Amino acid sequence: MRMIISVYAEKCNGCGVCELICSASKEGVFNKRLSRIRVVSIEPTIDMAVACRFCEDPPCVKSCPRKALFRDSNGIILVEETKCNGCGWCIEACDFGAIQLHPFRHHVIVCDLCDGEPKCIKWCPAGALQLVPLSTVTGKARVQAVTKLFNYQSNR
Amino acid sequence: MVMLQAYSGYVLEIDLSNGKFVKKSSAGLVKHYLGGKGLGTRLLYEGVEPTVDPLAPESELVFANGPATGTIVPNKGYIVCFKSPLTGIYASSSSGGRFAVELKQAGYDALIVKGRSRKPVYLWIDDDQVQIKSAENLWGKDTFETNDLIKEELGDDEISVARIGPAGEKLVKIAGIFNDYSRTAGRCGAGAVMGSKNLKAIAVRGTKNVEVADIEELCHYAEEINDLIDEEMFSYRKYGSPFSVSIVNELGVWPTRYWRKQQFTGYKNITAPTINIKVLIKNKACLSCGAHCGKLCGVKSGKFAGAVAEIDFETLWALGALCENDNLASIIKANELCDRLGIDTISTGNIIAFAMDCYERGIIGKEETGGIELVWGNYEAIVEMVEKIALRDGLGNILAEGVRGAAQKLGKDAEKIAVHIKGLEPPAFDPRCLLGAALSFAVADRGACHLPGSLYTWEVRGRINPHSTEGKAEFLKDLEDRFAVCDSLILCRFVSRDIYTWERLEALFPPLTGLKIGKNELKRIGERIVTLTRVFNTVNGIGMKDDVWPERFFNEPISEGPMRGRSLRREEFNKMLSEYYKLRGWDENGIPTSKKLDELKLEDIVLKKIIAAQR
Repeated sequence: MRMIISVYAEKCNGCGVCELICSASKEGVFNKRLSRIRVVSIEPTIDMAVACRFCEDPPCVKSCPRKALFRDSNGIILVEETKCNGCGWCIEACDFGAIQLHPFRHHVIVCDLCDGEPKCIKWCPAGALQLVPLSTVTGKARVQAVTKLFNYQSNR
Repeated sequence: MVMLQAYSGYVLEIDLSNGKFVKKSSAGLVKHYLGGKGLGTRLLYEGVEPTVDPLAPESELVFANGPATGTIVPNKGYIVCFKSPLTGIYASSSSGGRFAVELKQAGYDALIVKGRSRKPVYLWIDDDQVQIKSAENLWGKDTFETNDLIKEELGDDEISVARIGPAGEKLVKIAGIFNDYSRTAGRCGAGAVMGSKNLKAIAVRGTKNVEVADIEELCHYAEEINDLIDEEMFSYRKYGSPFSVSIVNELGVWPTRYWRKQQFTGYKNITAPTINIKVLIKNKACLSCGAHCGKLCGVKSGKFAGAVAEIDFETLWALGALCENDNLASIIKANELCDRLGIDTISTGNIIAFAMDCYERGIIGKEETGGIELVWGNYEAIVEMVEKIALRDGLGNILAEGVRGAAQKLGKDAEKIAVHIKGLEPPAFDPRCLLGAALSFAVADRGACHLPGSLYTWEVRGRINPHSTEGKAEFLKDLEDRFAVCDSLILCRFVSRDIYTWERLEALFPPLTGLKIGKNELKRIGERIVTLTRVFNTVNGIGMKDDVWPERFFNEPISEGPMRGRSLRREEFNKMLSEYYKLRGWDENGIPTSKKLDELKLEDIVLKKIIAAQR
């Protein structure tokens, strides 16, 4: 089943710990530009982390002229570094900015869910990240909507 | 030589008078000064004569980050070291946000700005590329606009910009430096120094890696710190620093009516739970830290609808309780204006309350205020005065000089009531009720400040007896030394107080920098930094006569409330003070002795400065 890193924007505070642990674990250094999950802060009120959504029919894979990107059975995008020459068409194809050019190497980088136990989720101090199937996300949204409705009524 | 990890390795020095920049190694200094406050203070001491005019071209601003900056160990921001135009002595001011990380990743442990540009400019530091760009179309713009315009001009929303508002441009003595959204290096007038150099902003983008000695081990260390934050800082996460409002007010140590009373009757309207219900938008956080203690608040309706500010305990007090103002919306609005125009909220609130006191006593009247009724609790007046001070408009031109400067201009009666230590307006605690705090604020390096010692926390929380002098000097010295180290790494004071103990600090170095520094050596470094700030101040004429609260705290006992009858007593205070000097190895006038300077390896630069000053 396809899992995504779901980000609860109302809980995200832009602390950037997810970026730090990702770059640390993938690259052995601290640098948000090497993180596969990226914080977007639209000051002052909006903070939200964005990572690959493992699309069913990924535009990045389709756009690659060198067939350097491959989607595995779990939806993870694999990058064949020897084939990738950093042309950036996948970057332009992705609607989320989730696939990025490695700042010091010639190839792209993207979230691979850390072999099933994403570090960012473990480290997020606000509990804003969850590894869930999309069905859980929609289910939760339904519950929230209904709860909000009844809360509103009870305040009258 | 052991190569130290976790540092960029360089200091960048920019001279605005001739547009030249120099890159120097930081390696020699960081061993003895660690970074942050230590490095900044040492560089300041080397770069200027301590007697320099703070607003002259020769004056410097030294921005420094620390080895923990940009890592996953919960840390906070940058520190700027400078000579204050408000106090005429040493100052350092810290600020969170992204700026410190960008500067570090651009490749610099410190940035020194000196000289004066002939025209308004801003600096653009883009990794190794450094440019001086025109700020002529930015001059006069507020801090939010400036931030947006520069990022637009440079084409990248992730650039971090430290800038001044109109207040800094007008050399308002309490002007601050603002970075990212509204992060502030607020106290002591760093913004005025920047304005005097015609420097509107510093924009930074850094893409380099931050590398540490043992990243896995450092992550384990950070995990432990985060667990402790979860366990011990629950109140901060839920309420932010405003949680102290109820505690401090109930204790009867919260100054109101410009230091005349110690409990605020309207406090219930500005407590943390009230804030969370009425105005809280969301929590905000410093990079790397899981405490998430920032409280972004917004006014939804009424006269100040739309005002947004990240409010905190000191601001709630200075623009609220101290002025007897319990209108929460107006405090948010006033905070936002301070951010927008570029001034420090603690000083601003103190100055407005002082003006209200002068107004009540007839020292100033409607003629001076331009028709504004400066009476206690007049929240509209508070909002108007913020603007007047920031823009040096009318009475604001006098008040912009700070409480001491304003009182000097207004005359003897005003000077009698003005509250400051060494020219800096104090934070939210009455010294008659908290003796350790009284000592701590009196000896703090930048003037009346709770942060270098932070001893007030232990007294307010009831962990030690606030009415006893026993052991206070010794405790204060240890705290000041530890926090000097924390300010050099750079670690947030809220987290440092109970979590970054000497043992944990010692354990941080091996995985971070690769260098082992024993606890005793760390204590020595803390002592060195504190003593160096004292030397800077000594050359500027500071001594025992300045390490004291104004007369009124000795002569006017508290008249009502739980602390009724208490006042500072000379004998008691002086006893603590001389104990403190002795423990620090300073003479009976509070001047570091040669023996102590030798011990701390400070004799070299100190001698040079004294010789130069005597020429």
